[in-house]
Amino acid sequence: MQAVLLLAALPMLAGAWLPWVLLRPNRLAPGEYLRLPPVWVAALLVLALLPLAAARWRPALTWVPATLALLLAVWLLGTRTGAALVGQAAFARASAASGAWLTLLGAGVALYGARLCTRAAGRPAWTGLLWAAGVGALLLNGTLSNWSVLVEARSEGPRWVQELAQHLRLVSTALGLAVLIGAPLAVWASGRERVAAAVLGVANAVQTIPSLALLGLLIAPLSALANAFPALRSAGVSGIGVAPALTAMTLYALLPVLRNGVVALLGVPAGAVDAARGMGMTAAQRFWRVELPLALPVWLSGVRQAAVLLVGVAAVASLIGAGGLGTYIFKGLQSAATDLILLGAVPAALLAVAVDAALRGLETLLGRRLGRAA
Amino acid sequence: MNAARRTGGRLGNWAALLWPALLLICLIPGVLPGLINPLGLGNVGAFEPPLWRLTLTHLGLVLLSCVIVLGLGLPLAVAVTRARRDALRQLAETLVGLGQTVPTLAVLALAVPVLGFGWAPTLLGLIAYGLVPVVSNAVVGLRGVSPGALDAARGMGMSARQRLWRVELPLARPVILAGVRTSTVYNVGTATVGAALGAGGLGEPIINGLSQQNTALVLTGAVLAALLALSLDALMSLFAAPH
Amino acid sequence: MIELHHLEKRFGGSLAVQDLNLIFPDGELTALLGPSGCGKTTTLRMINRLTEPSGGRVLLGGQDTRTLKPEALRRGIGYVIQQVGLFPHLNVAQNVATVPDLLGRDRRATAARVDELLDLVGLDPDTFRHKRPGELSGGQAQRVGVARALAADPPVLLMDEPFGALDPLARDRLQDAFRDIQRRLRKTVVMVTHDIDEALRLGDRVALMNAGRLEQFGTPDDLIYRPVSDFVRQFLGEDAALRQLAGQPVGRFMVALHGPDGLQPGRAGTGGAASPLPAVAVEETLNARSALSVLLREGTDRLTVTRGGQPVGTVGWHDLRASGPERP
Repeated sequence: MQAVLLLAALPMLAGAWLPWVLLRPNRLAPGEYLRLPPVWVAALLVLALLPLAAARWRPALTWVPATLALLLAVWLLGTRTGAALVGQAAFARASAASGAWLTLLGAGVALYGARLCTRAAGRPAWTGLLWAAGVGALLLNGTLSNWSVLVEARSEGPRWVQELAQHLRLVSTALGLAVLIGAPLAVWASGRERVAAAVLGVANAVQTIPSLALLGLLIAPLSALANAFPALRSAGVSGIGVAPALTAMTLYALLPVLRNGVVALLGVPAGAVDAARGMGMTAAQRFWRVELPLALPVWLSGVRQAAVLLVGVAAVASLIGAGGLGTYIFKGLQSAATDLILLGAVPAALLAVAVDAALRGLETLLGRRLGRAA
Repeated sequence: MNAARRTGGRLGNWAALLWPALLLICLIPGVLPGLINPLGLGNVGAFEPPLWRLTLTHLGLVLLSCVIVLGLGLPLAVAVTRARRDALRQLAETLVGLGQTVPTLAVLALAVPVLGFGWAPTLLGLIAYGLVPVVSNAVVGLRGVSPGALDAARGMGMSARQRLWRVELPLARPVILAGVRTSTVYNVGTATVGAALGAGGLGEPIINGLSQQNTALVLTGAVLAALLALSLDALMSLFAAPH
Repeated sequence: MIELHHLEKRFGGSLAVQDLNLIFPDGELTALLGPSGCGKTTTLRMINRLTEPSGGRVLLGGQDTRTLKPEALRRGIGYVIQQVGLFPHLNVAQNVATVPDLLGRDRRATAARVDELLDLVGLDPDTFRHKRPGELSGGQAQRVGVARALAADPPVLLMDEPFGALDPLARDRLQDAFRDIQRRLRKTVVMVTHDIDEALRLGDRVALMNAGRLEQFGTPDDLIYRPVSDFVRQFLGEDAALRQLAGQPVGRFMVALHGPDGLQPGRAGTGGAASPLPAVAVEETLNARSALSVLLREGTDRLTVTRGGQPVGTVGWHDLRASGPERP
């Protein structure tokens, strides 16, 4: 724990000295770096070291200074960007600079270390989530509203929400289709030894192919179809747009769903299946009562992998005009606008983490319900 | 079982010949455009820079990151698997898990504000992503060393350093090598995305083709990137095959 | 009664079972014994049609099993296997209740039945009802497996090496428990085993198979004392008689004392006159082979058999011979 908290303290100590705010006359122009006033530097230095001390003397309370450090960092980011913009033109932007990022990183690691301390002390885990409530409150009361990324988000407003929704729609549609197609296929393949071996072999080979290349390879046949049959093009089949992106994403997600399905169904203990047969279960009863419940946790982890992959692939799919959060990433890369990149990349990353955590939770729950945890 | 492994090994040897051979053939100027242009998906002419240069850039980025990843990842894994470093190991495992989750494009894009455009952010992304399988496999491998073997080594009077070099690392080697193989193959994919940041490489024709709606261009890059990944995978499987 | 008529199973070109004719008598336990690959498991699985015969017929209570739907047939036959095959996602009670559920029996009646069965196999219902299979030891799991097979009260029980995966101590205990259960329930049991001791200990009858054919069918005594072929003799081994003794308590062989006065019974005390009890005593639960060893060691002809320290009978060389054992 000490080592983790030391790792947390280092970036915070460095971050307190480094510039916190980058003030630019508009979102593209170069700007000037602003540091924190000495009072706040001192406060941050103290808060950087406090978790270390707490872990030594009062481990169960480590979460207090760690949470305070994170909330102070977020609050400082909000107030310092606000202060920097006083008297500036409307186009001026105040972004977070290296100091702010390092401090936030360190505070995050400190919170992680504090959670380990809480767990080691056998205390309830809810204290580890107080920071989220605090950050939420700071967001809602407008403290952060002068930070350039949120300024950008405000100006994008409804369009950003649309892109996020489009991202979610792409991912969930592709995932749903992949499960609808992949699940029966997996059941069919797992009953046939050679087919199952072939599926696993192909799935493993295809997995080595880069996702971007696979996306490209999958778009080519669609594009060829559209060229050969112009009627199809009017029906929405073409090399660009939502249809090819969805097709490519579905096929891409099909692999983990299919592979884990086959592995999971083959992994059902032979004794349980034999016993079920010997008891007089029909094939359908065997599948629903024994094979599926036992395969579900492993299968679900394939669905989770597919979902996480899809969040990433959907970001790339904006290249072919499918929309989604990738739009902001590529727009930002083209115009070298950091805030736009952040507006796309940070939500995409958070989305992937959230999807992963949610499905992982479902897996654990199912695993426990289905007797795997014992 | 033995026969199956032997045929598997023979297949592996064939793959290690087949994929690199196909890749080299496709790199001969004019071969790939000659194959793709008749499909009527668009037009591919001569490339500037030529395809073999793009492939070399790609390969160079991947191999460079691979070396750096090994240099960083192995000591890291060794450090967090020592006794009484449970908290550090958990932190490492959490970060590794996070790395597996966050989309490649997001990480690469986030590196741009810090490092600017070009190969630098891509290399950073390659290192970050490459560390994931190497560290996680090395941690699994080192933790999987049987306590019996370690106890015997201690009983023979080996120092901690001798135990690491003579017992733990040799025993964990197959798992670590498998991690290096996964890391390298995945990085071929990550480097493709790096083209969006101007890193060059085989992602360039794909990204250009996608944004110019020239599917032939996309196909050129995709075929080469896929062949490169399959070649590296097959070649590394020769070394990294589990005992 | 289960009858096999000219039963045959072909896998590819080879015959796993050929021209097998056998009648498993009602209420008895028949051990299907033989070396691995002799076709005993195939034979067992043809009875509940987990394996379809290539030729011949299986009659169950006089009815050809081919006239029944396989699922319906199997629901009426208990089935216990070496891997136990408990469903890991269901708790013990749900596992035991599987077949009654399949048969659509009343839930409440089934719940009561589950408790009764857990009691029968020696597991406390309150402790075990809600446990997961993952929390059970190997012996406990197979007890649940036996309870599950008995749940719908089938007249026939098929067991495929049911105690084969257990450690020797648990196997002994479970064999004892199962012998008691069988004495009470009188099911028609077919038990596949490659363990000669188990076959001699549990089997009312033994069917010894070799290379897909039946070598000999008879009581354990028949096989030991009247083997029909060299194969039977070699398979059982020269110490088969001792092995049989090892599986039985000496109390089963003893000649009981008549009264509480401590007099020798008539048969042993030939003159009818009272003679003193043998000096060396053994408990009636000691296995008969150990009692034989005591006879040898002490250089005596008779032992006193005691129950809780009190003499209840005597046993001698002749009682332990083949003609001696009374079958329960």
